[in-house]
Amino acid sequence: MIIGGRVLLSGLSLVLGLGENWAILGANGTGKSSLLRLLAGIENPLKGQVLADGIATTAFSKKSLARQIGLLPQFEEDHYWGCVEEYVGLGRFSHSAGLWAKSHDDQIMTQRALENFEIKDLSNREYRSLSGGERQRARLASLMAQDPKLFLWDEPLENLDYSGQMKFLSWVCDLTRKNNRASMMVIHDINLLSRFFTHTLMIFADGSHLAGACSETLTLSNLEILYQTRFDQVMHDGARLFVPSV
Amino acid sequence: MMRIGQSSALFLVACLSVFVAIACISFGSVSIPVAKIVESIRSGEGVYWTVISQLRFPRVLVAFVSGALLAMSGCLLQTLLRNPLADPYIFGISSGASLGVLGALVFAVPTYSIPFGFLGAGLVIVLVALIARRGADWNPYRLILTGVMVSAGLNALISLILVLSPPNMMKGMIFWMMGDLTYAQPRVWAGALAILIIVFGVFFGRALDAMSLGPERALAIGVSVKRLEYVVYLLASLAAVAVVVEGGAIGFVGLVVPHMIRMTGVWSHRYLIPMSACVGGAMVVVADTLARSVWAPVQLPVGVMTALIGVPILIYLLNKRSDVRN
Repeated sequence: MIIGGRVLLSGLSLVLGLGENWAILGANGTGKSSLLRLLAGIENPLKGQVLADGIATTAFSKKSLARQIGLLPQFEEDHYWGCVEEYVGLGRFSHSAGLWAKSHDDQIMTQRALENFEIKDLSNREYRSLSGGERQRARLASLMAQDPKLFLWDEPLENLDYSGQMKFLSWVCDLTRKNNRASMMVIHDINLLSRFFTHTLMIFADGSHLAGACSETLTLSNLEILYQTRFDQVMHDGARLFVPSV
Repeated sequence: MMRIGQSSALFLVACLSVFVAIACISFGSVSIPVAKIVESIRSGEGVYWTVISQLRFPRVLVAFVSGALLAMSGCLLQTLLRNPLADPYIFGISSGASLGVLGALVFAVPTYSIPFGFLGAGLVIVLVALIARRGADWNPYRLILTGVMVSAGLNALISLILVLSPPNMMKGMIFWMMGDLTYAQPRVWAGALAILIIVFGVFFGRALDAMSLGPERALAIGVSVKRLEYVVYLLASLAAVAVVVEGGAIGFVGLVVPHMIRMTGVWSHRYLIPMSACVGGAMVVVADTLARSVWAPVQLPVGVMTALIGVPILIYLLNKRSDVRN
């Protein structure tokens, strides 16, 4: 695909399976967000196609695609005037058969998402009046309510405090493993990877990429090439941690 | 601020606006008491009946429908462009229609003024869409800037027509451009369009709500953004044209009414659109009643009145709103 006259991500071939939890790593501007947009059908690839259950995503209607693949972009425009509950309920758009009524399922999923992200007591607050972290939790909750088979998150940890980050990541872990969903996330915190993720996709500055299980891809040399920075490797409780060396 | 549900707010506003419209039938150069109105409607004859059925009722009806169309058009465009300053005339539609109508008047084909108005506005709608649409998506900035440029060009042509027109026609033309319902007739298509937009707003309200998060997020939620944008653009433009060809560019209603309603806590388009119709309709009816009675028998342009009413209300609400926020 071409962004700003540059070809990004050529020759990428990737198979995502249910139950897998992917992290996308890469330096700024290498096309991580673009890849997510491509997978979600918001942009089209120059060559090739995206298949969901063997069917090209371009063949889906927007609504049915949103039930298969859901994306939470990093940014959105700030013109929403409604309350938090309605905001989270917007995630149910692709599920509502009628244009007017909200089904019982919609109610349950919305309430569950509000509870899961601990914003139930903010239900009636105006979305615009929330703090950055509360907003982010409402945004995450709306994708949970959307409940697609493949969850795509673009830097979802932004604005979350540590407890929020840990809760979110372990929830995604459970979601993929127990509820048989797939997840793919752009993330910059490399030390969280081996604890929560099954697979990693590294996108390098030269446009090449490396995909595989975390245990194989997460090496000191790969990370140093990826970020063009030297790292120190530290062992802690039997886990390898990577610290950028100054 | 006291909060009531959106649906009860809609019900209240709908009742109020109908009441206002009926009350305005009794005001004018001859004031008719409500009892007389009821009496003459029942009998169906007499001077009052003639005044009501031939003059007042059609006038109130056309004012209400015009206001409803303008307010809904403004509401749709504010959502489409995600810009609080959007109003029905932002794309130069009124300039296109005015050019058509004034052109027809000056070049001595006044009976065709309405078709000419439609023609002028239609060309603007297509032109703006074609220019602004050239990229991958509807970029609000390009759309707004294109519209502003097109209307600046057309306004120059309008000024040219005004300067070249015979002096005895000039006052009427200026009057009409400010928005004037003196010669307006209620039209079936305008009413049908208003109803169509209300139905659209109710059924596609959630999709419109999602649009306020931007096209990318709306797409990811499952909204067919491009199709929705085309429909919104077309409906909002047609609503503006339908008003302008009859009553000129009545200002301010389309800009102010949606904000007034949002500031009372109603935000969902399922309620926002029908409420805009009610409030916009009532506002133009009141403005028009004032326009034809305060200086009676001289009639003032209704567009002057809508601004005189709208400005203080919006400023008041803006201040009140900031108090609530802080």
